[in-house]
Amino acid sequence: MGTATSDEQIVERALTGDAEAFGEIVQRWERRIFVLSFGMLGREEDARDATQETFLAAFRNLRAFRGEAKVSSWLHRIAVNQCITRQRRAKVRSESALETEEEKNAASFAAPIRYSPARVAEGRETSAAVRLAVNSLPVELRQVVVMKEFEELTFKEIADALDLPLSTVKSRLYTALKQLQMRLAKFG
Amino acid sequence: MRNDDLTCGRENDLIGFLYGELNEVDAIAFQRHLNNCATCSAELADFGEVRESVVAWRNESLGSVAFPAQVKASSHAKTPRATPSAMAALREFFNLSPLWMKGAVAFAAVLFCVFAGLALARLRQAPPAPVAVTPGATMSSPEELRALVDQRVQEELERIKNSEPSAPAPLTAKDSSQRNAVKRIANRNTQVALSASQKARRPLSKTEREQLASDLRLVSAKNDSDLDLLDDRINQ
Repeated sequence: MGTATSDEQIVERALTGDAEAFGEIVQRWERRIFVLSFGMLGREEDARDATQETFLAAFRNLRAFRGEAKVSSWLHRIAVNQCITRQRRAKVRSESALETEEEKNAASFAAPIRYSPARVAEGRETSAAVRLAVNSLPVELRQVVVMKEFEELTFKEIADALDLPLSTVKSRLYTALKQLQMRLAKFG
Repeated sequence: MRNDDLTCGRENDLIGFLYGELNEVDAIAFQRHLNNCATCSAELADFGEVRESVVAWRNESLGSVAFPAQVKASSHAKTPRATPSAMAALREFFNLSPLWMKGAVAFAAVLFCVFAGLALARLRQAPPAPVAVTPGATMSSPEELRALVDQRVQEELERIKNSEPSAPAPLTAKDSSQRNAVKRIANRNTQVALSASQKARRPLSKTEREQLASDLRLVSAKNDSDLDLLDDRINQ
């Protein structure tokens, strides 16, 4: 097996002034942070911005990173915070395209035809419904769903990333799926 | 409607089973439980459908999304950047140029088209350039053409050779003396003519007549008797 450099070692290199070290961190985590942001925000542009802001914030706070948590957990926390901040700003402005679409789609989903979730999954409207349902979840539930379904992390990885007990991750995921099922049934 | 409050306390196992993260023993145990628990079975089915919906949304959304890393990688790739087409460049130029320039370019374009059309019409009307070929001969290949040209060149060379004056034959001693005599006579005749014109037809003396006769060889020595006759005739 090759001895791959750990994230922590790369961060140490970055802290000692290696200019390219942080670039390696970005390269390693950019995709996952983007996917996480996309799952959390539901819009590609927002996800890109959140990803950029996440790495900028990480770079700015690199010296504050003490190595007590994993780099992955640290980046996830920053990313989730960035997403929450963005959503809060959007709510305050009340100009969020997501909200506008949400209202529009909510009206369209008022149609009386009922579909099973599997049937619903086939159409584009269903995708919009799922997106709205996921985005309406509380942040702590949403990030678990996104990390599981978008990043395809194991429960242990999620627990490590979020610094939570394994059972908490599972129970949060259970709750999240339950709420999604209810919301999708309401849409359908 | 299913009663959501009805749980059997095995939610975590259900989630672990749903995502395939239970170990083998726990999975078998939960499978047995599912056979006896309608609530967990129903929830498992419902969650399965929810998962399908979420995965479908993810695939649909991220399937067309280029991840930042990919964008970055492609921007750093050494493949040449797609250059805009000539038409696109022209369009951009027109969009950016002021109105007067647009007008000038349009006018120049119209002029160019007119001249091009005229030139094309003239080219079509002009007869084909005559080709110097032997009547009846048909040019079928460059080799034949070359041979014909060679033949023409040879004929022309021969014609030029024939038209040149032939080289003079070498002179014999006799011819030379005759020629000198002719020259001398010509010179003398010229002098005589000059002197005659100067002397206004002065009658020649006998000596002059004899000299002239001998020069001209008109009379031989044996015909001296005729000289008088001549002399008389000349003097007349």
